[in-house]
Amino acid sequence: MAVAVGRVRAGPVVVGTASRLTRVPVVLTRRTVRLLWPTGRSVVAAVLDRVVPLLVEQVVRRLALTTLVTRYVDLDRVVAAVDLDAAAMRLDIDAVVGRADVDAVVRRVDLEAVLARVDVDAIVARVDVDEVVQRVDVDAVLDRVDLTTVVLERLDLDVVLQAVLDRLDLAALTADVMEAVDLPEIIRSSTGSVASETVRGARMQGIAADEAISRLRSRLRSRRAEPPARGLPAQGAPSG
Amino acid sequence: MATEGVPSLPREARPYQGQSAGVATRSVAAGIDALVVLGVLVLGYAVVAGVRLVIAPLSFRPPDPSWWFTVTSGFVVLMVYLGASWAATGRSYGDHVMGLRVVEARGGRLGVVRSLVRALACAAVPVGLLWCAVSPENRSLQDLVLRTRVVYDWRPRAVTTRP
Repeated sequence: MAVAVGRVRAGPVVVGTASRLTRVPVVLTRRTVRLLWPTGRSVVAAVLDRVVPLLVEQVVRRLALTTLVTRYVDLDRVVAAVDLDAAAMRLDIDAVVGRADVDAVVRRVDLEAVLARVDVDAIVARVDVDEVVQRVDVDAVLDRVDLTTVVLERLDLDVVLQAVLDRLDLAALTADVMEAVDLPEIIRSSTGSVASETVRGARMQGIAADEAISRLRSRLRSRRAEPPARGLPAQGAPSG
Repeated sequence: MATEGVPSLPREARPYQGQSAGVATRSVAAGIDALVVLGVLVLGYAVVAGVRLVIAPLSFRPPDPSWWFTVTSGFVVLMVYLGASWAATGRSYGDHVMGLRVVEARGGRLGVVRSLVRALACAAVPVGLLWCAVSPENRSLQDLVLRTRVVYDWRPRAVTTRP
């Protein structure tokens, strides 16, 4: 049965449907309407409360609301109309964070899955390594590292030494050293005894003394061999 | 030997090798040889005294050799010592210390006879060494008579001499 409720007017009002059998309009007087109005209004409200949710549920169930919203609603305009800054300003982040159980959140995160999805190579490729290295205080880092211990414990010194020896041309190196070193001097100093510095000095002094005597002898000989000076008569020469 | 052919001489001494040595160096060498002979005589004296002491300790008295015996012994020791040294290596210990070598006129080593004769001449007339100071070729009287020379030679082996 359909019910239509109209305004209460001065004259007789047709407020209901007629029976299919009689089709006789029910004519209500103004007084009757006044008496029945509160009751009918309550009845109608109760009926609506029952019927409308059922109807809406049935309608919504049959509609693809997401499709309709994405098709007919301009979400960008909606979002643009929202003052996100003001909303953010009104947020009490401390309170939000305080209420959040971060540990529980972290426990529920599958970090390995997250890391597996991260392209580390791409991230590293975007890093300016030179700039990073320039900002590193290498001296300070080295001061904090016990390099001797690191070398002794982490390095296989035998392998390193073998590699160094493989790269060295020992024959050429030895030849260079032999050229640079005064080998005769070393032999002299190592043989000791007669070839010691004292004996060497005595010998050199002896040679110097011999030369001095030889020069003196030559000077005396040259004076004896000098011819008499011109203009002076030779000794014993006849005069006149 | 690995050092074969490597000169073991100081650079400043190399030009003098093979040249005739002067009177100063030779006098020092002769003085060293005199000390060697003196040491041998003292050693001989000690040996004789020791033997005497062992044989007759009660009647032991230190030997008192005569002047004649001492001079003769010194002369003989000096001659044998110098002659043997020059014949064997061309140098006595004094020559060895001062880097000298006695050679013949052409630079070769002296024979035994010439070495002994030269040693006899040196022991008999030691002042003949002083003729080196006068000789232009730094030759002593013994060198002039026996046609020998004394050269600088710091090497262990003999070198070719230069007049």
